[in-house]
Amino acid sequence: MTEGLWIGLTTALQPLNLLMVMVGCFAGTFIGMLPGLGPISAIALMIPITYGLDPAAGLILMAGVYYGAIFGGSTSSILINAPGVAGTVATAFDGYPMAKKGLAGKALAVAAYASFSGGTIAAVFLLLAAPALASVALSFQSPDYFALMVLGLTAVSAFAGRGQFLKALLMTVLGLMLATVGQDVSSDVSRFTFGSIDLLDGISFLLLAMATFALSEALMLVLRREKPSGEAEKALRGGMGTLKLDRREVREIAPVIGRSSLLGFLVGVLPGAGATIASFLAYGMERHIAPAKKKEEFGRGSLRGLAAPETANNAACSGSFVPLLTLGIPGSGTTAVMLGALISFGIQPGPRLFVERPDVFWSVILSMYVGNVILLVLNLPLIPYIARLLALPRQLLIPLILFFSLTGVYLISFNTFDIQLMVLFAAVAVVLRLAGFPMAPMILAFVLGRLMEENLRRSLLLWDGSLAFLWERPITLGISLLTLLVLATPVLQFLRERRARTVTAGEGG
Amino acid sequence: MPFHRDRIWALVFLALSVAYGVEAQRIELYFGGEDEAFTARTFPTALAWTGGIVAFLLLISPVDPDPRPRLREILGYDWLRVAALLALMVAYGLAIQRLGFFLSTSFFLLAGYLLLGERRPWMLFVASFPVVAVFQFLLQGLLGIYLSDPFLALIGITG
Repeated sequence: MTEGLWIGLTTALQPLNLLMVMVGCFAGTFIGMLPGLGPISAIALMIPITYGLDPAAGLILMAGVYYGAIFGGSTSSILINAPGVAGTVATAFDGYPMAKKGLAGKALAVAAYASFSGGTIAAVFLLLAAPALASVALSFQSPDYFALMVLGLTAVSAFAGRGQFLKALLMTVLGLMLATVGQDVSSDVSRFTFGSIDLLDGISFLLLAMATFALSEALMLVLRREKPSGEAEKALRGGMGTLKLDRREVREIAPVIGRSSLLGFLVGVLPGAGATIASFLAYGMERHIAPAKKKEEFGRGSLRGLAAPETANNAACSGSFVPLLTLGIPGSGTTAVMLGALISFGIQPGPRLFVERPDVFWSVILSMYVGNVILLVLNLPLIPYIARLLALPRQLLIPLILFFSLTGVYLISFNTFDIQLMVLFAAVAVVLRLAGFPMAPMILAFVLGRLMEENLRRSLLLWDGSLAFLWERPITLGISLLTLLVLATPVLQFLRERRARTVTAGEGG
Repeated sequence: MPFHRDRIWALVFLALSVAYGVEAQRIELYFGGEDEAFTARTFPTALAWTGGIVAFLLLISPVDPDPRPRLREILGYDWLRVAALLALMVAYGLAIQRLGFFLSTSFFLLAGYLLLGERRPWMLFVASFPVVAVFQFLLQGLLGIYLSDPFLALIGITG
């Protein structure tokens, strides 16, 4: 491990890679700040740039963008009550009331310190957990991988949100269906190409990610006539106030940060849970355990209420790298996009990555720490200036986002068919978003589709066409049972709610 | 069963799964492939069944009586502008190889700004042609990505 750490440290601290983290943090902060554009879009927009880089630098850039986007989302949550990403919705609960009281600077500072601490503590957990899990995962076989992927996809759907389980499952199936378009890897037979040569290589992951996130999110801004710039100008005119925290305030948030880091990391490791659930859980937990007097401050500008979700969402970001780096299975939409990028670099994440490409494995982990330092040291003092970008007119910003998305895909294939396909996917994604269908399960399933089919093929061939591979090995059986449990959770929740409603109606009547 | 948009979507996905399943059965197999434990049809067939079952469950499951955004709200959205942007992107895709990267992208940006309400002539110019020129210089000059551009070749800037 010491050797690996050293390799990672020297790779992460190379001038080019340091530059990548800085660029990533800044770009991510800016994109994450724009309401409507989340980390998935931010990373997708960066992918065309990473193709010219070596895999370690590319992944470091994307990790920087991820952290920057979460931090940027906090900034817009605090300043204009418009979370750029779902993971920072809970930040607005107390961050925005603080900004309204003229304490925007302090709120941003708390957010930055909390993010830094959460990210740093979680990076240490990752440092310890990832190699251990990777060693265990080396004994995994095809049935285990197949079962793990089914578990991951099921969990993403189960955590998609209240009443969205079936819709998320449908999006998962749609993503898997899209992954089957093109030539079958094992038999070279073309599937679902309808005679089109352009579809023989399948649908590009970048095309789908750009269309369903960057393009469709930009189009949603136009559709809803959202004008974030006016709010931003108002917030910036009001001034930021001090960025400093006194000793009493630091003492108040320190234990909150410790608890929320652990919670955030653990939630982040779970497939599908991610930063959003982590931030809400941490907020709820802190409100629950706060003394009565402090409890009243929640929702009115509580330091605890701001520090908890901010710490947890950053810690969850680090946690979500555990399944990606050790099992090769992304736990969230964002890490799915990263997996897609890694595969296009010719790198297959998983337990072998730890052995075969220690430079990539360790430098990504260490660059997370570097990214956190950069966010704190460089971004925080620059926030008042970066926040001015929020005031950039929408009529200029949106065509530029469309341009970067379209050319990002075109410059890789030089095929205009890809542009037309992107437009089609973006239009469908807009309609599906309005109908309440989440996009993250679809992209996650798309990225995992081919791997899943390959592992199913190997498992069925080994077990002579029998599905017994799902329960004959103890590890696979354990994972399969966990999947059933995850599948049962929304059903049980629904039945419990219906029973409660019936009881209430009975008492009322 | 009351009329509800989730049920309509369930029917759409059900139809999609059926169509996908039918198409999956048309995937070619090698001679004797039908007897193998796994063929190119196996995974798509399983997906078609799963999609059909989940869509059916959505069809029969209880629905949110007050889904957001409401239909009235959706109808009031700026659909015309989004449709125009989509058409602009299609046109950009058709023009990029005929007009070349520089002209097509500059006009794409210019039209995009105009569509979204930018009217200042200097801004329209500055945010389109020079932006694309800098971008193209970065691509060709620094990253070495060659872009065929008949217009720039005509005026002697590129070969």
